[in-house]
Amino acid sequence: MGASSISHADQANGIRTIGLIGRLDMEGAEDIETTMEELTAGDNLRLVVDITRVSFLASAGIRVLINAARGLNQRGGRMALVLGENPQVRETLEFTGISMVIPSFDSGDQAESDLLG
Amino acid sequence: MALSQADLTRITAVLQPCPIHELAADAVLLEPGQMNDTIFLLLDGQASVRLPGNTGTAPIPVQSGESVGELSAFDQEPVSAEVRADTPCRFLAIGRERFWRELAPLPGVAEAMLRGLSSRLRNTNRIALEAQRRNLELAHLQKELGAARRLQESLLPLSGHLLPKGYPMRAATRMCSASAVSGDLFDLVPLGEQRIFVYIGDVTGHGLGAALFMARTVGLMRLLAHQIASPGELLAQLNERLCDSRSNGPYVTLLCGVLDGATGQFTYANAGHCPPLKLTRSGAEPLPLPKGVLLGAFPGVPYTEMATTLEPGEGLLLYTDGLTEAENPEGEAFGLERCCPLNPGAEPDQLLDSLLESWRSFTALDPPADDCALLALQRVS
Repeated sequence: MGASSISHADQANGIRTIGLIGRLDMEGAEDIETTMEELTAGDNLRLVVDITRVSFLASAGIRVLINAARGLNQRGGRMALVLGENPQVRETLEFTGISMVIPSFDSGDQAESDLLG
Repeated sequence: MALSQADLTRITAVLQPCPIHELAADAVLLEPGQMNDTIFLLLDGQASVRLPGNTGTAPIPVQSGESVGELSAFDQEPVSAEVRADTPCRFLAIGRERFWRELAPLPGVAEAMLRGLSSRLRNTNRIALEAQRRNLELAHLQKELGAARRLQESLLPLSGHLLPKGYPMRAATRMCSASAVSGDLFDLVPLGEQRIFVYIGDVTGHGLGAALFMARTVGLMRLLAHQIASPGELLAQLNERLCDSRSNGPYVTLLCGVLDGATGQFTYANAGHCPPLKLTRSGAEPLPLPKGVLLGAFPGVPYTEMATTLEPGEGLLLYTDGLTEAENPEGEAFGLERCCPLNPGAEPDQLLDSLLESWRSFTALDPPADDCALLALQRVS
């Protein structure tokens, strides 16, 4: 029984979407870390990470998001985040300055058009 | 050991009247401490033996044809381990009296029983030695962790005089660790006669990796605090150093600033840390945050500065998110709101004591789920 789960879908426009669900605390981040690394390992990948259903984002979860974004940048790819209503998650991304370096959007469509543009 | 047809017939005749115990899956046949008079021979199913206490050993499987209970039946001491059916099981129950009187004298029976006991004894010895070795390793590791903890605590200003005598401000610090070592860091570095460089930070993740990174960051900060006067420029420099030669974290959030005790001006910059509270007569409120991403992840990013002025008697509370994100048993976070009713005019030591008291009674968790570091400063009136 994990604290978090991860799923993904590859779309016709070449964008990969990863959905994260649950608590991204130390335990939850551990649950998804390896899969996240595998799913972000390709070259020139355009990736939408949907965290609308993440209920809690701790520093361990932030580390997973940053690792993914840095890895993608180094391999010619780009990453965008989709945020939900959760004020704790929004606040954490704002405080940590993540929203300055990883573009964040309210909807998947906005994130995709940013990556395609 | 071949038995003649005649021997087998005699053994069968002795076993014939023995009752059969049927157990459902998960049912317990023998419990540690109980007295037992019966040797149980597993006819079919799968059972297992579990040693009491936390020996860290896996259950020992019992296969059909093997027996359990003979030790306690023979020596009439209490049962030493739990025997549980993993699947539905059928045991043949041979009473101690019947065994000695009728079964043991038959050819092959005593030898088979001794063989079984010897092999079990060897197995138990192996498990006991293994557990002992693991316990020794654990004790050694705990000793090393204790040393790491003391070393780490020595890096933080936790007691004694935090500021030189005659400084126009007061300070207090507290640290509540979730585990032996922590990833929270803070420091107070006097600059000249009335200015103080102050920071608080939080390394992502936990454990020894975070603790080592914390120690590295504290060292770099001591160096940079004397070299660079501007908090924003200092964070940019620190970020460049923490970004090189590493691939995947950890990272650190850090808020730093310089408080001038003569003018009350506090100039600060932020690398992804949560906002400090400004403590005024009218209450406590979070300072606006200058933009800046956490350190060690993205080289070349800028860190802007902001400034505020503390009147005499006013102060600052710097903290890590272990304070605000700690949850009560109902899953509510402590939050910033619960920090605000505290008496903003109190001296830093009293302020932190009363804050921690209400925090501890809110979370009802000891040790806390996450590290919590606190640093309070007050401009002397």
